[in-house]
Amino acid sequence: MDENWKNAIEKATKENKVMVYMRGTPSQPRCGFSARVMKVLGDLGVPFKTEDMDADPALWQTLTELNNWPTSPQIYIGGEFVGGCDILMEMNRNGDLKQMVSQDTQDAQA
Amino acid sequence: MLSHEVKAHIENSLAGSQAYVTEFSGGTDHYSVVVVCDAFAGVSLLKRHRMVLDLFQDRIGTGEVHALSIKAFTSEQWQTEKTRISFF
Repeated sequence: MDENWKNAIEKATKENKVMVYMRGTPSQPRCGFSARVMKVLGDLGVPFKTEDMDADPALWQTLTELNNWPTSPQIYIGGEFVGGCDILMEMNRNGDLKQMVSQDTQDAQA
Repeated sequence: MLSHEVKAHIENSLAGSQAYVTEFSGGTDHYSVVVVCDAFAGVSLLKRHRMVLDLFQDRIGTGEVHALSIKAFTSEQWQTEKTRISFF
């Protein structure tokens, strides 16, 4: 595990309500799962930040160890790891995603 | 890893489970799996996915399995979900 990445992940996931570690960028995702996550978040109109997991193997390794999760993308909401693409799709379908995101907004405004 | 090996690995590792496996790249390393198992009852989505992913950590590490899309249901959920699922 890379300490610099570990600290950067802690900071980014605290500072951004929705933080996505993905392959590629929002406009040029490098895999179908990352692309689907971008589509869902874009359709919801949720602000989010991304980091390219392909940019550094040490980032990928650090995320794998931190979350015990070997694949991309990896999504954090409100500082918590929620899972990958399949889980985000299910949360979008059952309404949990919208609720989590709007709840965070209300908290921030309160 | 071949489809039937993925299926057998899941079913042998999670007692009482049934796995439906589809390879979606045309090769042998991009898998979409539906796992039906009553051990998922009362278990969060994140934990269900970890239970299945954990079975493939080594193979994902070596690249033998590149992508693993997971849907995890109890048998009760599967009764309603199976009419809805469209990726077969």
